[in-house]
Order: sequence, then structure tokens, then C-alpha cells
Amino acid sequence: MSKPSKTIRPILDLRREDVGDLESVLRGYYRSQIKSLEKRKDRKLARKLLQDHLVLPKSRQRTSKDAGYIKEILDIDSPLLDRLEESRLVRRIHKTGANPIYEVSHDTLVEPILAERNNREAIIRFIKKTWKYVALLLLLWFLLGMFFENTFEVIPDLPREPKRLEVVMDKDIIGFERIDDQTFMALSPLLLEESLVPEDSLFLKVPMGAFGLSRLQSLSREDVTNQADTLSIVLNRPIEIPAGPEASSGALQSFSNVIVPLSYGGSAASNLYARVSGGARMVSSVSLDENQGEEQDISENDPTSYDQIPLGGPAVEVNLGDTLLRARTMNQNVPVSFSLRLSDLFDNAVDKNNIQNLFGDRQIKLNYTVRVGAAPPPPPPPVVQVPSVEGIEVQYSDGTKRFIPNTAENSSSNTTHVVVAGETLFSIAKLYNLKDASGNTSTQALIAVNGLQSNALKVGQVLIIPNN
Amino acid sequence: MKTLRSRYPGLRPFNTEEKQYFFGRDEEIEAVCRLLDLDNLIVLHGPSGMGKSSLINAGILPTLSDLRNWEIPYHVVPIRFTNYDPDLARMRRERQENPEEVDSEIVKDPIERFIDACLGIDQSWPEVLPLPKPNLWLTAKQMLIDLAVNPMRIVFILDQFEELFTYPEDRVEEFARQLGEIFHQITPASIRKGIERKQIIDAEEAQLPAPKVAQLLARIEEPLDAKILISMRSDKLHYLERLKAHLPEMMVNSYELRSFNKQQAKKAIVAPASLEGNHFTSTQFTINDELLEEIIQFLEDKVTQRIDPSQLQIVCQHIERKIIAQEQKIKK
Repeated sequence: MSKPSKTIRPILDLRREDVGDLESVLRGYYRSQIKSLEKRKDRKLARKLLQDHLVLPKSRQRTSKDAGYIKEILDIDSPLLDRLEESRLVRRIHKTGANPIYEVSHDTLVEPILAERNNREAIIRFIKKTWKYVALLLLLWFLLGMFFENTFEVIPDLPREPKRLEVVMDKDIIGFERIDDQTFMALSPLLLEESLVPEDSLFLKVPMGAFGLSRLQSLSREDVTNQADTLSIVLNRPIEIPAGPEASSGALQSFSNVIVPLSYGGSAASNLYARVSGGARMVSSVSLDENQGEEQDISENDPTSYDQIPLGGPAVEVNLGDTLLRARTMNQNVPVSFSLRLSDLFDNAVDKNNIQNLFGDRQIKLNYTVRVGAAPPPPPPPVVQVPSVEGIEVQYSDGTKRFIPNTAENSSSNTTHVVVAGETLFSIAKLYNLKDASGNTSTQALIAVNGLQSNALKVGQVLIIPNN
Repeated sequence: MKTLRSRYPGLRPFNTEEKQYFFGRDEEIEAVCRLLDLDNLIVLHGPSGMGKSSLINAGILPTLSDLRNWEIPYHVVPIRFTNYDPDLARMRRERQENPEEVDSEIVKDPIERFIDACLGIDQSWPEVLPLPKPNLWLTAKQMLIDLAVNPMRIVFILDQFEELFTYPEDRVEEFARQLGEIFHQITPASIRKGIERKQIIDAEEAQLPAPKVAQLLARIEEPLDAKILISMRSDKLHYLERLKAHLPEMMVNSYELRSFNKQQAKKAIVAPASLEGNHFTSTQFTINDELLEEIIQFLEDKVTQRIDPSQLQIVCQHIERKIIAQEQKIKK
């Protein structure tokens, strides 16, 4: 015997309530022994043997089974039986001249085993009853998860009719990465200019999650129509109607610049983006022509174009160099948002079982047909401005120069500012010390005077600076 | 660093070091030892899980080994049998062909195990007699000479004896024959013949035997005072019939190990808990009477009113874990 401990340890008195239900002790033992079997198959077989074959649920007794029966009918091998015997869950009884028989080693184990059996049966019943609901809940949870993973401002409007998702396109979602303000300002003119070239692309990052479809590897027609079917893309930024080479007064001109959709941008499941690029499928057509019948059929010229789904819309006369937004300010009916129906996409999908094919090469093109009005073409954007007391000398990109004298209109009441790369509305407001009523630098006046629709600025854009 | 022991070993048998925590089997220990004192062959049997190995390791073996208990001291040789493994037997045959390749303790048949148990790994004995096979009786005699205590009795305790019958029949037969020789104590005829032959050869070659061998030869005529305790599962007792050709006395004296009665069970639950010492995983504790009664009631067989030791161990281990948890709470 070792020496008694020097430190006095407390003598604990174990009471009834400390130990808990004794049957559950054996049940826990039974479970742990089953759990300790390494192979899943063994665990399953052991449960089957003990719960289904060695106990009688009605009379709540144990019963025995012949080793041959256990091996042949239940397909349980000797090592497993030995193991169960070792753990004292079963015991083997040898009879002279016959196969040994196995039985639950002790009566006290019968109730725990029956409890486990009932437990399992209850679970199976519960699963049978509820699996549909659980599956539905999982699906819902899964779809909801989609929304929260979105990287942009997506305003879900699911419960109400019509089902709509609105993706607001702002500076943050241009391109594949979120870009900082300064980069955006530097890039924005480029992006806008580029977007005017039919083959080029303006990228609009739209997560597939916005469609509620990402991660679904296959989907059916029902899946598509059951999802929020319509994706609205609101173009908040000015889209300039170009002064193309063929543009002449009164001529009809078509161009296709903006686009919408849909190819895989990312590979990680949570980063599946739809890409907005030029070309291909035309879902909606916005006509700015006053005569819809005269709208050109672009699909003849564009082999990649798809069927048109005309949006209609009012005819507005525009001038060369006008922007869509400017057109809109003149006529509120000019749509600057476009709807895109997944089910339409789906109908045209090559392989309806494969989401990748469904969206892989699909693109949506918004076509504009504009008729250029009678007004003379405005000069190309100024590149150099030389302000003087008399006025501003502007040098345009085509080399021409023009002197804009200070008139009562543009000098006495207002100063003008030509935007250079890196400038923001705020930086300009600060430069000219524009303040709101409470004395803080504010872009409000700047926006109001210039009738700006967004914070986006173009290099070379002339802003009117309001007098304080 | 001292390894801490559990107060309840659970389903594994008690070992000899744990004899202080082995409770509730005093009657059985005394009964078996008394039977052994009177007779030379006892069969201890009981169902699997009844605690035969524990009784041997932590009860009978220490009691027999304690020199104070006996007028003539016992030398106890415990041998635990394991089952025959055809794969290992094949390996063994291969080993005999390539002696360097395998040397595993497991690859041993009952006779070899027996000899190992008697002489240990350090077998300093030169070849004694030109015998065709290893002989147990002779080995036992050699062991007695090594012990150098006279007089002394040997007790062979053969645990898990049912495993013997998993071996091929000829091996079983041979083992039974040699066990019979030990049981009958007098020098076996084969040994006598061997001695005669050796003496003739030695005389012809004018050679003196090694001192140890000479000592053995001098004492070889004395009967071997050996006893045998066989322990096996009661459901396999019928196998012993096969040994009757060599051991007709088999099953004359047997002892059935039964499960605990209530008093024994209470002792087995309570006594380990109250042991002092800092070498236990749990602190010293007591068990409330109400709880004790409930455990007994829960565990007892409704017909025989007896308590299965395995079940008792499962519950007691659970209780000890509760105590450890409680202790940790107090520490915090």
C-alpha cells in the first residue's frame, strides 16, 4: 500500500441524485460499445443483431440465436461476435454437438437495448413523416443563404407579386472586383466610352445568387419559374448615345452597347457571377425612335443575336451626344431599367439540366435604335481647357480649338469646372468651397445645378459651379 | 510519475497488483484454496464474465503465494491459455524452416507455454536427457531445483483452459498425457528410461554430468509435489471428457463460481470506494445507502437474486466517473 496522501482530499458522499437513471447507465454502456466498433457496417450489424434478433419487444425478454443463423442469415462474422462477447453485450453458450448459441449477456441489458430499438424506430418513423418538410426547409434555408451571400445591393422582394429582384447598378458593382472610389473615377469614362463600342463589354457583377440558382447543378423548368423570375437591372449611370461616324441629322441609327448577361465569372461556389458583356442575346429592346416600325432588325447583321422581346416604350428625339439619362430627363417614360426573365433564358438553353450551359454563353444585349435629331453635332469632348479672363479656350480631341467667351450666362452667375481624372464630386465641392446650410462641405448644390443623376463623373465633363 | 488506478477495473479481469481492491470473493478464495490443499486437481468453472480470472489473479494466486498461509509453501505457476490460430501455426512451421525470421511469444503451443511459465525466458538448463519431446514433468522438476526451497509444492493454474481445445487433437492429446504425468507425481516411465540410457552413455564415455544435471538426476526419483487448478467456462466443461484417458480423476473435484450474492455485491461496490490513497483516479468516497440498495435491486437477477460481476463493474465505473467529475467541480 502506498502512503496515505498528505493533502486531505474531501470524502464525497454519493447520493441517489448524483448517479441518475441506472438503466441509462447501461444504455450508455451499450451505445459506447456499439460506437467503439470501427466499421460502420459492424455497428449496423451489431445493432441489428442485438436490437432486432436477441430481444423480444413484447415480452421484454432476451432470446437466443444459433451461431449458424447469425453467421448465415445476418451475415455477421466471428470477429464481430467475439468482440461483442468480449464487451459482455452477448454471451456464447456451447451445447454439445451443436452450434453455440448467442444471447444478450444479462437481463439488465434487455431494457436498454429495447430503449435503443424504440429510439431508432421512433427516429425512422419521424424521418418518414417529416423528410419532405425537412427537405423543403433545407431548400428554403439554402435559398435564403443565397441572398445573404450576395456582395451587392440586392433588394429581395420575394413574398409579393410580381416576384422581382432588383439589382441596383452603381459604381461598386462595375467590374469583377469592388473598386475604390478613385479607381472608379479614373476608370469610369473609359468604361462608358468602351461600352459604346458594340463588341466591347461593360461588366456588371451580378451574383448568380441573385437568381437564387447558384450552386444548383441542375434545375428544371419549375425551378426556374419558381424562382424570382425577373431580374431588373436599373441603369443609374448615364449611357451616352454616341456620335457615330454614320450619324447625320435625321438618320436612323442603331447600336447595341449595354448588355446583360450571363456567363460564369467565378469558380468558387459563393462567387458565381453573371457577367454583363456586349453581344449576343437580346431580351429587351428599347426603342428611342418615334416610329417603332422603322426599328432596324439588328439580328440580321448580328449573327449572335437572339430573338427580340421588344419592350416598346415611347419615342424620344435625341441629339447626337445625348445620353440615355438626358433623354430620360426630357421624357420620363424612357426606360432605364430592363427586365430579364430567367424563364426566357431557360427556354433558349441548350442543355436544360446544366446551369453552366444555361448561362454559360448567354448574353443579353439591350439594343437601342435612335434617330438623331436635327441639331448640329456637338464638338467632341474637350481635352484641354485654357481658362482666361475673357473665356475658356477648349481644345477637342479631334484637334479643333474653340474659344468660349465668358458670357453673362456662364461667367457672371456661374463658374465652370472641367473634370479631370481622379476628381470626385466631393473633391470638386471642396475645391470650390461649396457648403450646405450647416457649413459642411456638400455636393448637393453641385448635383442640383448640373442635374446630375449619379455621383459618376467623366473626365472632361463640364460642371457648372454654383455661386455660394 | 505514478500511474493512477481506477477503483473498478471494469470488464477486464483484476490483476495481481489490484488484489487490495478485489472485494466480495473471500468465501470463494478460501473454498478453492482449501480444495487445493486437499486435492491435486481442481476444476474452477463458471459462465463467462463471472470473474474466474479475477478470482485467480487477485484472490487465489496471492493467497497461495503468501508463505504465511501454508505449512509447506506453494510455488504458483499461472498459465493463461490462448486460442489456436492456424495462421500463427503456419508461421511457426515457417519459422522452423527459417529460424531467424519469426520469434513471437504468441506462436507457442500449450506445452511450450507451460515450459516457458516454469523456467522463464532465462533457461539456463543444459540438455538434461535425450528425450524426443519437451517434457513437462521434467521441466517442473528442473524448476523446483532452481527454486532451491525444499520442501515446496507447485500449483499450476491453467486459466482459460477451454482454449486448449481449439488446438489440433494430437496436440491436445500430447498435452493431456503430460499433464497426467504431472498429476500422478511419480517419475514417468519415459523419464526413467531416459535416465537409464543416459547413465549407460555417460559410463561408456566416462563423462560426469554437469552439476545442475547431477542434482536433478539425484532428485529425479522423488515424486513431484504438484497440484493443478484448471479454470474454464462452464459451458465448455464437457471438453474435459476428452482428457479422461490420461486424467481419470478429472471433474472429481470442481468448484462452481457463481455471481455475487447481495452481501458480496455490496462489498464489491462499497469497499473499493472507501480505500485511502492518492494512487486512484478518483478521490475516496462513500455511497449512500439508498443508492446502494437501488443499484443492488437494479442489478439483481429476478430469479436467482444474484448480481452479475460484469454488470456491477459497468455501473461502478460509471459511478467513479461521476465522482471524478464532481471532484473536478469542487476544485474549480
